[in-house]
Parts: sequence; structure tokens; C-alpha cells
Amino acid sequence: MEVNSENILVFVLIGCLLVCVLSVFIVFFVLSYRKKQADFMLEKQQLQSQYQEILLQSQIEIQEQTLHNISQEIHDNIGQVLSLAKLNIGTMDINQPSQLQEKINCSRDLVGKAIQDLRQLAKTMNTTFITEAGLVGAIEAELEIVRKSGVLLAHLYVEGQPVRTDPQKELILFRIFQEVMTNIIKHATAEKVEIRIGFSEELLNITISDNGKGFDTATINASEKPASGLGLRNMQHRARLIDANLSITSIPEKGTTVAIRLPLTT
Amino acid sequence: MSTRFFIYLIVLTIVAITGMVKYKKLTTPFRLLVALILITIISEVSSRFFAYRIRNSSPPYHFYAPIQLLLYAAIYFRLLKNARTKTFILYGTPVLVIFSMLNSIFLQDLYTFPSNSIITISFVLIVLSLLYFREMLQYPLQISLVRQSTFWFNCAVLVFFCTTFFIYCFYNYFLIYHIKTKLISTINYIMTIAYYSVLTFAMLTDNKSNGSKQ
Repeated sequence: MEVNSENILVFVLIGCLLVCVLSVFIVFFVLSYRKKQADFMLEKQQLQSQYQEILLQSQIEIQEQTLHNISQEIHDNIGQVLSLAKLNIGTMDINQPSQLQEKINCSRDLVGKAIQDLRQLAKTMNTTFITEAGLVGAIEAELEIVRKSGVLLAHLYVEGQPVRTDPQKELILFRIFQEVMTNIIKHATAEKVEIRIGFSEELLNITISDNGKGFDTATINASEKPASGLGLRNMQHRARLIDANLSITSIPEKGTTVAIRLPLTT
Repeated sequence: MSTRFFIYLIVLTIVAITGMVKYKKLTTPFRLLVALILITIISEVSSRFFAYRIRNSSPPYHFYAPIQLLLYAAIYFRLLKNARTKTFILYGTPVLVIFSMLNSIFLQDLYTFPSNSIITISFVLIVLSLLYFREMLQYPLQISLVRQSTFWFNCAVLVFFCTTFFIYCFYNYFLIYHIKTKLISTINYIMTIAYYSVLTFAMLTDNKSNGSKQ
């Protein structure tokens, strides 16, 4: 009987201990979970504000780039065309009717071209241009400017049925594209650039390949200079913010390929 | 039929009905749980039948133990994300089922309660529930814990199988020394009722569309 009572006492004691341990464990878990939830929420908010910041920055940079393009277009193209028209008008001679008619026609064509170019410029000046034209339309317009400048031969290939994604994501993608193009023009000394935009059910693939001098990606990554590769890191950071993946493949003297993959989730 | 068993059966029936009514809205782990509850009802009723006919309720539990293990393993396989844990479940479950069968053949025959199998299963489920708690901390959801069906399910599994493990460790000891006590069966009974009540609540909170785990 005594053995029985002792055993029951041990059983009860161990049982109480077990209950205590389980209770403490569950309370500890609930508190830890709440802390994790709060941390996660904070991280999410930070990411959201970072996203908004990048979005705003991208918009400003696109506007700056647009203004730069406009100034260049006015100086190199419209200005030249109008100067030629002015020159034509200035050299008109009423006494030579046949030549006069030719010069009037030529001046009318030149002014017409200037008006057409101005219309095109007005379109790109609109801040909602990317939202209206879509990513493919915006890239096509950007390439048209590059082609006109004569710096590069640019080809655009669109594969699959184009679909519109989140306008904010398109804006950031477009800004990344502009940065890549600026890098090619400034540093690659390339003659040709090829842009492929591929749409599938789940993925948007953008590949930008040039035939420029290329660079050693390892050197950029290993460089201790904070400014070195900053642009590339910046592009990668922007891509990450929209859940896209940006990869750069480059071989010295054999060109560079930038690939952006964006999952098209609903 | 004792009052205790009658109440136990009522609680089990409530869980089963809740599960079946909500079946379409339930996530896969909870659908598996509904199947387990139905098997538990069959096992409990048949154990009573055996107790009445041959004065021994143990035979059904020898079949119930491996089935219970398989279903719990399937539930945790669906709940857990970690690949290593999933592999552990995938390869560990057949081993434990074989152990349970060998136990019924060589160690505790059909007329002895399969406490060895129950202890082993309880231990595995304690480990799985702790691993799931760890995963919950790794991937916190933005909904309150009270509204998370898997939290209630996991809490119930941890507490119930800790108690079961503890009780059946003593059960073997008491059996060896022929010590009879009502305390063990009372605690076991209370824990069982509490376990199935929490499972009912978990099933009520579970909903495919509110982001509960698939």
C-alpha cells in the first residue's frame, strides 16, 4: 500500500511538472510568435516604403531622361530641320518662279517633319506615357530616339502575346531598361544592341544584348570602391523590389547580356 | 455502456460531424484529420464490442495504432515545409508501422494493450509538433494565432501526446507491479475529452479561403 502511494505521488509530481513545462512552452511560443509577427510587419512596412521611394526615384529619373532626350532632339533634329527651313525661306527669290516653288515645297516638307517630330516629343513628354503605351510601347519609343541619334543600331523582338502587368512594376522595369541603355551608350562602345521581350503565361523575360567591349563581372563584384558597380547593384536592388531577377553576363571584348525575369503572377 | 464512454463518444461524434459538415471548406491536413476521427470512432466502438464479447478491448487498438500513425504522418507531411523533416516522415513512417506490427506479433499480443506502439507514436508526434512550432516561428502569418487552425491542432497534439507518452510510460510500470489506480484513467479521460474539444475548435477555425495551410 505504501509503495502504491509513493508511486502515485511520483506520478502526480511528474504530471504537474509536465503540465508546468507545457504551459511555459506554449506561453513562450505565443510571445515569440507575436514578436516575430511584429518584426515581420515592420520589415514589410520598410520594404513598402522602400518600394515607394524607388518608384518615386524612378519617375524622377525617367522625367530627367525624357528632358535630356527632348533637349537633344530639339538641338539635333528639330532645330536642324527648322534652321534648314529658315535657310530655304531666306534664299527664296521671287524672280525665279521654278526655284521658288521647289523651295516652298521643300520648306513645307521640313516644317511638316518638324511638326511630326514635335508631336512625337509631346507624346513622350506626357508623364503617363509609359502607363498608356505599356512597357513594349515605351521601349519601342525609347529605341526610336536611340536610332535617330545614330549612336547604335537597335533591334527589338517581341515574342509571345504581350500582356500588361502592374503599371508601377512596368515603370521600374522601364527605368532599369533606360539605365542599361545609358550604360551601353556611355561605356560599352557597342555598335549594335538587341532587345528581346518574351511573354509566357508565368514569366516576362527581357534580354538586352550588346556587342560592346564587355567587362569582367568578378572584378566589379570584388572591387572595394563603393562607387564601382553601384549602377549594377542599383538595378539589381530595383529588380528585387518588384520580385524580378536581374542577371548580367559579360565577357571582355564579347559584349554584355542583361536578363530580367519577372514572374507574371495574378 | 459507461457514462464516461458515452460522453467520449458524443465528443468524438461532434468532432466528426463538424469535420464532415465543413469538409469542402477544410484544408487537406484537416480532411485527413476527419478521416482519422472516423477511424477513431470505429476503433472505440469495436473495442467496446470486444470488451463486451471477450472481456478484452485491446485487439482493435493493434490495428488502430499503425493507421493512426500513418494519418498523423500524412497530416504533418502536408503541414511541414522543411525538406529534411519531410524525408524523415517519408522514411520513418514505414519503419514505425513495421515496428508497431512486430510489437503486436512478438512483444504485446492482440490481447495486451499495445502501449509500446502508443509510446513510440506519441514520442514521434511530440517531435513533429515541436518541429512544426519551430516552422511557425520561421514563417509567421499576419493573422492572429487564435484564428490559426494549425496552431490549435498542434497545441492539442503536443499536450495530448505528451500526456499519453507520460501515462503509458507509467502504465507499463504499474502493469509490472500490479498497481491499480483510477488516477491514470481519469487524467487520460480528461485529456482525451480536452483534445477532441480543441480539435473541434481547430476544425471550426480552419478554412481554405482564409489562408490556412494547404
